[in-house]
Amino acid sequence: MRRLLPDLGLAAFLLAALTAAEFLYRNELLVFNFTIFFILAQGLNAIYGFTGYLPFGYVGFFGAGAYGFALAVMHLGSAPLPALGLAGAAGLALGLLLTPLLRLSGAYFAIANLAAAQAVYQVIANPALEPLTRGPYGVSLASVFAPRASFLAALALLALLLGVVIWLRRGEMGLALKAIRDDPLSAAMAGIPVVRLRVLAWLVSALAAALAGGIYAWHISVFYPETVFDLSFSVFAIVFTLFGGAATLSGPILGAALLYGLYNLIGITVPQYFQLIYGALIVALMLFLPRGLLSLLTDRGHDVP
Amino acid sequence: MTSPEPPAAPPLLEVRGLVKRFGGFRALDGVSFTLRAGEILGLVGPNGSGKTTTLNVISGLYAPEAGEVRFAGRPLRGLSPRARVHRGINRTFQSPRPFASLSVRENVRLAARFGGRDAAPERIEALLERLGLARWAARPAAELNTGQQKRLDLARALATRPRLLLVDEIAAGLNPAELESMAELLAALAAGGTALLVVEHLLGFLGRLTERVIVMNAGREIFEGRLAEASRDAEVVRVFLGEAARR
Amino acid sequence: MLLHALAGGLVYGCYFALLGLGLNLVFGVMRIVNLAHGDLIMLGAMAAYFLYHLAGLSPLWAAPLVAGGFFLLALPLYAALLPRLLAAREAEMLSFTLFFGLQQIIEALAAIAFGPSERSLPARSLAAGPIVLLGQSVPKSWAFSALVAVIAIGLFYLSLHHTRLGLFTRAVMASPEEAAASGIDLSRISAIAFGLGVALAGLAGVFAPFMLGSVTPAMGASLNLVAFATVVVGSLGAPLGTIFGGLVYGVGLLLMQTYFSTWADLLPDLLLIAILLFRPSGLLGRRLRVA
Ligand SMILES: Nc1ncnc2c1ncn2[C@@H]1O[C@H](COP(=O)(O)OP(=O)(O)OP(=O)(O)O)[C@@H](O)[C@H]1O
Ligand SMILES: [Mg+2]
Repeated sequence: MRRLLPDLGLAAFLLAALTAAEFLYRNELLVFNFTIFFILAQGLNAIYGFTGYLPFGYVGFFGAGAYGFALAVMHLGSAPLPALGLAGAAGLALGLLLTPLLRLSGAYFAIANLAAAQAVYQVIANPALEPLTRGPYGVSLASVFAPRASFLAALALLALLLGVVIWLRRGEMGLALKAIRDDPLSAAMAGIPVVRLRVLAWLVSALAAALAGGIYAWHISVFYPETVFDLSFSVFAIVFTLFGGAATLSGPILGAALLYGLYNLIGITVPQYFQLIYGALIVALMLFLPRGLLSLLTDRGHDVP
Repeated sequence: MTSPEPPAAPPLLEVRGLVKRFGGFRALDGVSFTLRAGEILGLVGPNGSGKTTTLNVISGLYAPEAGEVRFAGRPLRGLSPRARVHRGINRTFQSPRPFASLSVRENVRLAARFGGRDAAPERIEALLERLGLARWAARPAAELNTGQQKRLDLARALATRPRLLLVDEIAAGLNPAELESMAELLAALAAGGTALLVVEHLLGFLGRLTERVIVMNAGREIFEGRLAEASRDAEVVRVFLGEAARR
Repeated sequence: MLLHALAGGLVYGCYFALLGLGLNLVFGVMRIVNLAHGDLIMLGAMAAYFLYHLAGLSPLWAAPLVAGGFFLLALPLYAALLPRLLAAREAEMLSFTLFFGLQQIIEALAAIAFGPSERSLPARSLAAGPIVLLGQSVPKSWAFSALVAVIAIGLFYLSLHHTRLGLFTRAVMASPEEAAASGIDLSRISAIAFGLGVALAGLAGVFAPFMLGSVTPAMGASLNLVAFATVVVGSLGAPLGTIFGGLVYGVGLLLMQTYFSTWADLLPDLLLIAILLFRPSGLLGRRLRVA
C-alpha cells in the first residue's frame, strides 16, 4: 500500500486541479479538452507503455465512440448515459475486429492500425451512408447538450483510467504485459497467457478512447467526421506519452500538461509554427531521450509515480 | 547415475517418428526415443543436426509434420507451449531469453505465478539462492552476463515445477566452478524425480550427468546407447571428424 | 469501360510503383519506415512547380535535376539522424516516430513557405493531347509520367543486379550481419540507399501534378498510405515487388473508381490491412521466417 501512495496522490491532485479549474476558470472548453487529452494519453499508455504496440490509428476508436454516441442519440433517442454505453460498445467492437492486427509487430502494426482508422473514417463520412451517419455533413446533438454533466463524465472516466494504469504499474498484470513485450516466447514458457493479456490491454485502451470520443461528442454536440477522426488526436496522444515517458503514471500527464499547454499558447494562432516545434521536439526526443523526460529521473534510480 | 526404474512404469516422455520440415529441408527425419521420470538423456550431434528443433517440437513451438509426442501417457498434439508448461514441461533456450526490462526476481516471480501457480516469496527466494542469482535479484535481467542469464532461464523454468526439463546447451560459456555447480544442480533435479533431456556439446559435462545418449546427424538418430561407446561407433566418429575437419 | 479502366490502371500502376520504390528500398536496407516519404514527394512536386513557373523548365528536365539535388540533400540528413538511431535498441519503433517528426517539420516548413494554396502544372508543360493505349485514349502526360517511372525502375533494376554496389545492397538486404561480416561497409550502403530513396521520392513528386492533381503542403500524409499499400502488396523489403504492387494497386483503384466510385478511397486502407494480415510477406514474397 505504501508504494501506491505517490501514484494515488498524483491522481487525486490531477483530478482536484481539473475540477477546480473547471469551476473557477472561464474557459471551460479548454479545461474539458485538457481532460480529454489526459484520458487519451493514459489510454495510449496502457497499450503502448505496457505492450509496445504503437497504435497510430488510435483516433479510430475515438471517432467510433463519438459516432456511436451520436447514432444512439439521433436514431434511438437515447439519453446521454446509455448513449455512452453504445459509444463504448462501438469501441470494443472495433477493437475486437482489429485484434488480428496484434499478430503484426512494430511498424507493420502501426501502419495497419492507421489504415484501419482511415477506413472507419471513410465509411462513416461516406455520402452513401448519409441516412445513417449524415455522411460528410456532420451531426448535431443539441437535444442532449450538457457541458457540466459531460465534463463530470470525462472526469470520472479519467479517474477510472488512472486507477487502471496504477493497477497495471504496480500489479502482476502490468509486469506480465511487460514480459510479453520483452519476449513473447519466454512469456509463454513462463505460463503467461500471451494472447489473452494482449487482447485485454488492447480492449482497455480501445474502450478508453471510445468513451472519450462519446463524451467529446456529448460535450461539443455539433461536429463533422473530420473533427473526431482528426489524426491529431492520435498524434497528440502519442507525443504526449512519449514526451513524458511511457509506462509511468506521471509521464503522460506531464507530457499532456506541458505540450497541450504549449499548443494552446501558440498552436491555435499559428498552427504551422506549432507543428514545426512539435516535429523538432519529436526528432530531438527520439535521438536524445527516447524514453521521455522522466527517464532522466528513472535512469538515476528514482522511483517516479 | 540413472536411477533404474521398475520396467513396468510407463515412460514419462515418448517421442515417435518425428518429422519436421522447413520448406523442402528436413530438420527432423524420424526421431524416436523415450524418457522416464528421474532419468537424464543426453542429446548430442554436430551443428544443425536438429537438436534444438527436437526441443522446439516437444515444447510446442513447432508442430511436426509426422510422428507424435506423448507425455505422461497422453498425446500432446495441438497443445500450445503454455498448455504444455501447465502439464509439466519446460525448457531453457540455447541463447537465453530473459525478460530484459524486468528485474531478475520479477522474471522468476512471473513464472512462479503464471506457470507454477504459486508465487510464495520464500519459494522464489529459495530458487534465486539455488541458482546463485540472489545477489542480482533486484537488477534488471538485461545487466546479467550470459552465464547468469542461462541460470535465470533455468530458474524461470524450475519456477513452473516441470516434470520434464529440456536443457539446451547450458554449459557453453560457464567457467569451471559454474560447470561444477550446474552439474550438481541438474543431477539433484533428476534425483528428485524430474526427467531431463540435455542437449550438450561439452561431452565432459554431459558425462558427469548421464551415461545414456542419443547422437543425431542431419535430423536422424545415428546412435543410441552409452556415451563411452558412442566414441567407438564408426558413423559417430565419421560425423564428428567431418565436423572437426570443417572447422 | 473495363478496357478504359485497365489502360488507365496500368499507366497509373507504373507511376504508383515509382511512388513506393524509394520507401521500399530504405526499408529493405535499413529496416526503417520513412514516414516522411510522402512529404518528400510533395517537395519534389513543389520543386517541379517552381522550376517550371520561375525558370520555364519542363518537368522532363526538372526530373534529373530534382532527383540529383534530393540525393545530395539526403546525405547530410542521413549523417545527422540515422547512425545514432540505428545503434539504438528499438531502432524500428524509434525511427518510425522520428520520421513522423521529420514529416511534421517538412509539412510545417512547406506550409510556412508556400501557404495553403493549391498549385498545378498545365498538362502541356509535359505533353499535351491524348495517346492511344489498348484502344483507349489516355492523356499523354499520364503516359509520359508512366514512361519515366518505367525507365527509372528499369535503371534501378539494372544497377541492383548488375553492379557491385547493387550486389552489396542485395547482400545487406538479405542479412546485414552477414554482409558486415564479409567486409561490406554497412553505413556507406545505407547512406546511398537512403539518398536513392529520397531521390526516387523527389522524382515521383515531379510527376505528381499530372497524376495526383494539384499540389499542397498537406498532401504528403495521404500519399504515405498509398505508397505503403503498393509496397506491402508487392513485398516489403523487396524493391522489385513494388512494380507488381503498383500495377495491382493501379488497376484495382481504377476499377474501383469505375464501378464503385463512392468507396474507391477505401481501397488503399483495406488492401493494406488485408495483405498485412493474410500475406504479410506480400503477394509475391516467400513466407517470412517467424520466431
Ligand atoms: N525456424 C526455422 N526455419 C528454417 N530452418 C530452421 C528453423 N529452425 C531450424 N532450422 C534449420 O534446421 C536445422 C536444424 O537446426 P537446429 O537448431 O535444430 O540445430 P542444432 O542441432 O540445435 O544445432 P546447433 O548445435 O548449432 O544448435 C538447421 O539447418 C537450421 O538452419
Ligand atoms: Mg541448437
